[in-house]
Amino acid sequence: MTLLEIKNLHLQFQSDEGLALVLDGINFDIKKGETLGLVGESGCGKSVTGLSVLRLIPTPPGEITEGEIIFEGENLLEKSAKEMQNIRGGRIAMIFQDPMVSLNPVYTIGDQIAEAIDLHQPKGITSTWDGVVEALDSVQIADPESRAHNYPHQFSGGMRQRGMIAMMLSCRPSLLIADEPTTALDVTVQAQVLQVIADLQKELGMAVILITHNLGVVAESCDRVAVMYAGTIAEIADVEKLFENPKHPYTRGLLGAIPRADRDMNDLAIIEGSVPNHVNPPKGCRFHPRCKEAMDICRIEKPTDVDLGEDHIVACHLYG
Amino acid sequence: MEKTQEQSSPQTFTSRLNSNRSFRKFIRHKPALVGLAIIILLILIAIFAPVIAPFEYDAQDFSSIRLPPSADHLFGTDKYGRDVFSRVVYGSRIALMVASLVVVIELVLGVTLGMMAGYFGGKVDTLISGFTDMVWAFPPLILALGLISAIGAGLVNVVIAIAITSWAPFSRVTRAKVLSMKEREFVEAGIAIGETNSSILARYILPNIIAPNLVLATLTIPAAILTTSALSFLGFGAQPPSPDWGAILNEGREFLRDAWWISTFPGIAILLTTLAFNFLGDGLRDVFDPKQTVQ
Amino acid sequence: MLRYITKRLIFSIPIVLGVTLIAFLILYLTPGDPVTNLLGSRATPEARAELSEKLGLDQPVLVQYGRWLGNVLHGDLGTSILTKQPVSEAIGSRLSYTLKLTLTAFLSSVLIGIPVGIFAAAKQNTAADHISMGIAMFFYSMPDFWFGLMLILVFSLTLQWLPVSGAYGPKYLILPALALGLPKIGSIARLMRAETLEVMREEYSLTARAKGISEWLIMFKHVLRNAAIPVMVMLFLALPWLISGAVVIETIFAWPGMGQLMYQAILRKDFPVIQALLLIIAILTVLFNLLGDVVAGLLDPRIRVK
Repeated sequence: MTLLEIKNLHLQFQSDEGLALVLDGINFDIKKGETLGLVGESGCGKSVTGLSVLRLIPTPPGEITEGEIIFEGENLLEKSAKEMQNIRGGRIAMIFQDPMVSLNPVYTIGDQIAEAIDLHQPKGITSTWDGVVEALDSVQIADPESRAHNYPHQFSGGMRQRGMIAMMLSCRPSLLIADEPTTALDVTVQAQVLQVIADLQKELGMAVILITHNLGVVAESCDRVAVMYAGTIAEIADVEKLFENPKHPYTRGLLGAIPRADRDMNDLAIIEGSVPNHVNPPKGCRFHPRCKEAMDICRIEKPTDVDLGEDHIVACHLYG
Repeated sequence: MEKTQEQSSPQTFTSRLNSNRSFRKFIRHKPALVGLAIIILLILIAIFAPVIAPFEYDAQDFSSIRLPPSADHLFGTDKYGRDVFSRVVYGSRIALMVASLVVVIELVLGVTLGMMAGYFGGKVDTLISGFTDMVWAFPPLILALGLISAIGAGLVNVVIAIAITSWAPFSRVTRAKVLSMKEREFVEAGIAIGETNSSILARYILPNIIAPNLVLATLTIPAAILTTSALSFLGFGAQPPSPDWGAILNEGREFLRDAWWISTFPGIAILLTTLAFNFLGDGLRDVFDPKQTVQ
Repeated sequence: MLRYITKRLIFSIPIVLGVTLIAFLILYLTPGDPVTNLLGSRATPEARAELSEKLGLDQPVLVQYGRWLGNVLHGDLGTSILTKQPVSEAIGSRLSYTLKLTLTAFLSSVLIGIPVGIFAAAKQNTAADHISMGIAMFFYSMPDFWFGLMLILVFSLTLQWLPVSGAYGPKYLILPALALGLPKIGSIARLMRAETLEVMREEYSLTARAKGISEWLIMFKHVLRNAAIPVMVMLFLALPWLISGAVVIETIFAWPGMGQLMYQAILRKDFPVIQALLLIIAILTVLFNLLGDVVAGLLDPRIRVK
């Protein structure tokens, strides 16, 4: 069952250099309980996509100019500000990259969780405080009763991210958007945080959009992957299929760029060139200047999504 | 050969792009441009004061005492029949001179102390930073008044008194910048190959602390103008017949009822000048790293 | 928290000592001998001898400083050359006037400046923001002594609504308080706007929004609570500057406070009074700094809770 469907989403930013088309018509969906990885180089628009779903793009300078975001059958772009507030934190939650700066330093962790609970009044919670303790317990914070009285600065980085997860999931949303949730953490803590998310996902039956540039994380945690390039989606497929049989030249390049122990360093494929800027993007396929297999049509016409069957979709003229 | 070219070109390209971007950002900052225009105009007025002013600033004319503004005397005349417009025009020379002098002394004091504190660290830093905090906390006008009570009134003494009581921001900004520079590889490399302290300070560190100090200097000029003219207004600064704006204001004070123009116009001149420097300083701060000059 | 305050107190001791040393040294920077500077030229030989004894002029400067400080600690601030009145009395009678003036000016500038700053930040980059910040910049650049004269010109001389000078009732407070306070609105509004914008850009503001909190609550509960910390510290730091501004404003409006006393004392080289005023302002400065730190500590759990 489809939980969220993004159709032809266009987003532009007014920047110093001019109008930047940051999302150029992206399409993807996510089913209930599923984990979708959203991967790409920094600046490809993956974080912006996550923020768009919650309509958290500051306007101005950002503006969604076209498209639909259908969540549980309703178009979020048509919701009023008040309705969006109920959805945020209640039905769709989001966590961010750096837990050192994403919690308010002047309120206790417990107060910040309580604020979310009071706001959304999730079912099955006897009192706000019980909900706070339960939420902290569910993310494996030891001694949650007393830890709830701590301020963020008294928590370690990993604990803060778990506190953040506790806060965002205390209201049992059906979708979690996790924007690089482990990037700022120590390697040893990363696995723990991902495990906490996976456990809660199972318990709550919630879907997760995992935004990351780490293909290792994707391989371990995701059911499906969407590869983004310069504001477009290059390829979407089940995780095994994508890793085994990548179709888009960009996906192939990305996968080739992971250093692997069984290969010589010299074989490391690096995609030449750099991410194009969004103000004057290349015509046609945005990847064509870096693509080794670029054809004439790639310079002229934007590729459409091609369904290769079994939910494997690729936007590339090679398959048109 | 090809490789080195590849390595060097992106760097020069980005730096060129950056300065270009800064410039464009500055150009778009309209208040800063207006400020700059007023300052340039002011400098021109100061330079060409004898041409612009219809009278000498101290030319008395007892047949035309305290005349209201008219075509002959744009800003009216004072109690000696002197043309207020001419006095205000000549006063721009004093204002600009005094303000730049104050800021230059502050720069020299603050940058020297800040560099020493940041570079040598340890006890030197504790001592200098403690001293800086002390001077910082104290309102310069009061400290300057105290000094003036000792060394006496006069424009030069006012410049000295203000400069040695308000250099603290420069010292702090410089120290912070030097501390961050010390960690950089090229400075560490300099230390490693045994360059002397003074050569490292002069060659690597000094060029990098210019920008934040320049922004701060622009933002300090208004304070310097306001404090010096306040002291002149109280009678401790420029002495008659000097056309210092603060001094003209002071002279006009007793005639506020009958000759409002004497005090009004030099005040507007001060306001416009400080406004112009504040706008320019704000713009410069927005363009350069904003964080560094805030506190 | 207590340890933090104690630490701050200990740190402020060298500052007070430093400023008192400067206040003390002023006598020695002045041409002429300290006894004449302190007693005036018409003092009797007996009085001169007595003061020499009291100051210990034959001893090293540092010992003299110690003695002077000792006297000060015992409440002996010396005698005014001009009025022959004990300095502590002269200042005591004027302190309340200065406090009344500066606090009125301070409160009115805060009550106007803070909301304007918040408003401008909330409406960032709109016409409302540009206009209010333009006005703030105008006040920020204003010479307060000129502003005082213009207020007199308009409200006293032309409209005749308010008295020109003196201190004979509440009506007399209005113009000097405006002259002292209004220019400060500029810096307070600019500071408040900058700090508010800074916090609005913090990621925890985005977190609050992602939690579903209304914009209004985000502003008042999350943003302003954080922006208040640096602003409060700066406000306490600004109080001594208001006192320094009072020197000019009190002189213009013949307001019988410490500022006017300072002006007269400098004009007439009344050194005991100058020294005492510097000392008091130094202590007030340090006190307000300390208060600012304490308030910051109370508002900021990162300082309060270890």
